[in-house]
Amino acid sequence: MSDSLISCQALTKSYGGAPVLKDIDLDIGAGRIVGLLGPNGTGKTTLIKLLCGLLQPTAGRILINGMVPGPESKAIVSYLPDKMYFADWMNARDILGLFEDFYEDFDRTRAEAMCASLGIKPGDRIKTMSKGTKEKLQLILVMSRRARLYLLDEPIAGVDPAARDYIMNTILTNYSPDGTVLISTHLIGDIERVLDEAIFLQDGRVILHDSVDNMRAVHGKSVDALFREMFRMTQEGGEQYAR
Amino acid sequence: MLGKLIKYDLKSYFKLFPLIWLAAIVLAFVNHFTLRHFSEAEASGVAELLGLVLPILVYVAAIVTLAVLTLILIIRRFYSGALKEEGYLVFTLPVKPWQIVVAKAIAATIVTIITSVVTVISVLLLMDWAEVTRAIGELFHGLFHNEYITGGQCAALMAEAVIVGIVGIAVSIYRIYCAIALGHLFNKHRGGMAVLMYIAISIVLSALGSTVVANLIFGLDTNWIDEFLRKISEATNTFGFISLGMLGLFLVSAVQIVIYHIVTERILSKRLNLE
Amino acid sequence: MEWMFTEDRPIFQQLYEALAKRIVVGEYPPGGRMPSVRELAAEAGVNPNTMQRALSQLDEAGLTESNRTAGRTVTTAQERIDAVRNGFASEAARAYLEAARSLGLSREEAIKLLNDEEEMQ
Repeated sequence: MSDSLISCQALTKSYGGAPVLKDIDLDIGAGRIVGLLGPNGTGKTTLIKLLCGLLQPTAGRILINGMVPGPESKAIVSYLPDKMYFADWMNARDILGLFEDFYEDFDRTRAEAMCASLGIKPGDRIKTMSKGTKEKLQLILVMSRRARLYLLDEPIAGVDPAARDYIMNTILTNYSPDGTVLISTHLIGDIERVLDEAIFLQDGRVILHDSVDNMRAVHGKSVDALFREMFRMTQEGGEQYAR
Repeated sequence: MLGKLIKYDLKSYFKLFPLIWLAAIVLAFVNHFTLRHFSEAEASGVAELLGLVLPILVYVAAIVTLAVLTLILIIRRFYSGALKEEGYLVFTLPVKPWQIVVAKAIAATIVTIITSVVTVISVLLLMDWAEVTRAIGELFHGLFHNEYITGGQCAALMAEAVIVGIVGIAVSIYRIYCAIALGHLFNKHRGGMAVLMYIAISIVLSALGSTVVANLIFGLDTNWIDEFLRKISEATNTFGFISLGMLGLFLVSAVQIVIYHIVTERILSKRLNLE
Repeated sequence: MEWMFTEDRPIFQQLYEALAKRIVVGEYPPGGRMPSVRELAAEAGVNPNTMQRALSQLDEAGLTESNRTAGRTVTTAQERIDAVRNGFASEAARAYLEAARSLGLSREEAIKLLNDEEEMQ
């Protein structure tokens, strides 16, 4: 499908001979919230980095809106990594200015409003902010872009429930209407309600990709329960779901 | 986009440097007067000696700090600023990797130039101003009015010298970047490997520069170099000769910059592996 | 988030009931504007499409009207709102009577219990 927002064709990524992603074929359309689900270490972050252009494929192709990852695709992709990428020397005003300078789709007014509601002042040095505040600031910056694709790598891992609500609320309130949000996580229960589609990734392969409604209807259980079942069975050496 | 990247890096440097530049100038100024005072008033006694020595020590410390800090920050802006966490930010900006490298190199060069100028000015401030002005005046007069080159040619040579100087600064910076990028190819101890790479590059450079290697390559003794120089000095005037020399220096740096840039850019484009 | 969900029924169904109850108690007054799909979805922490389903069901139940220009408004037909309210109330009553019967209470005992409870409050 050439009109997919994301298209992976026989995508493979190896680190020094050891394959992390194996022969991935994936198509994801626009205007939906998709969960990239799998236990830690299955290659979720690697796939997201490939989509961002932070890594190059070992084999196969990856296309964002029909383009190979590069400056044009980066202009429409908004990425939230699972670590903080701030330079300590910046203050809030600096980072807002940077996003405004480089991204045409950045809504500075909206970002400033969200910062203000968190009590972040323009002159606040990032170095002096608490971890929680920094995480939220990073989220605000990412979600204030009217991007075509949002890539969120483990946005709610390791945060308390109150922060989790804030994060999910911020995501749902701010993503651009025709945009796609790809959330990678191993904590499915918390975000299942938010998803249109889910992708199960195991050992570097896509073992399931379907709408959440379909999954629930076909398997008669929540995606969370299905996930536990599928991945537990494999751990016990039982029958492995194969495509 | 390139301009924005340069601005962003300069912002980082300018959070710290203006203060130190100012400190260097101010301390030079202060020392100018303390030195004067003591040279005129035949100092004796410990307290007065301290009053003379302390300001000088502080000044020297400031200048050394300036030089060291410039180097450290330039390294940091590349190593931490592109290849650690900040890399997640920088390499997802809608720019090409070469723009990131070039922008950082330009910003680092600008900062180094300013630091050098500040250092020179501070040294001049330290000395007797009348003497300095007179000496500079004499120097310039001698340069512009002599039998070897015309005034115009002198100005041209000065411009060439400035260019060679700037390119010389840039090549040192690019050499560091290249070493850091090569170090990035390894999965562990990237910092240590970068240092090793820098040493390796330096060894290669000095090997290339030595005439022993040249002899091996050309299978001749060094007489051909003397021949070459003699032929040129016969064919050109002083201006042409010196300019040719400058051109040679320029090319040596420029070729290195091109090589370092390509190596660095290719590594960051194809082999980037943050974390 | 005050929105609690159970696993046994589809989420859009539970969303519908929660919203309908808000209308019934007047939290969204008759004739008033409903918040947008997005706002509600963000508040409830659910996918906007799921929330859209629930809102469509509100339309079908006659509790709201969807207008291209005016957005979604709560109906002014009070009898419709009352009907839905009574529907919820009946369900609750049926559930209570079921529970009382399964505990072995007679009809009279069940009713007396209700009166006693009310007096205590």
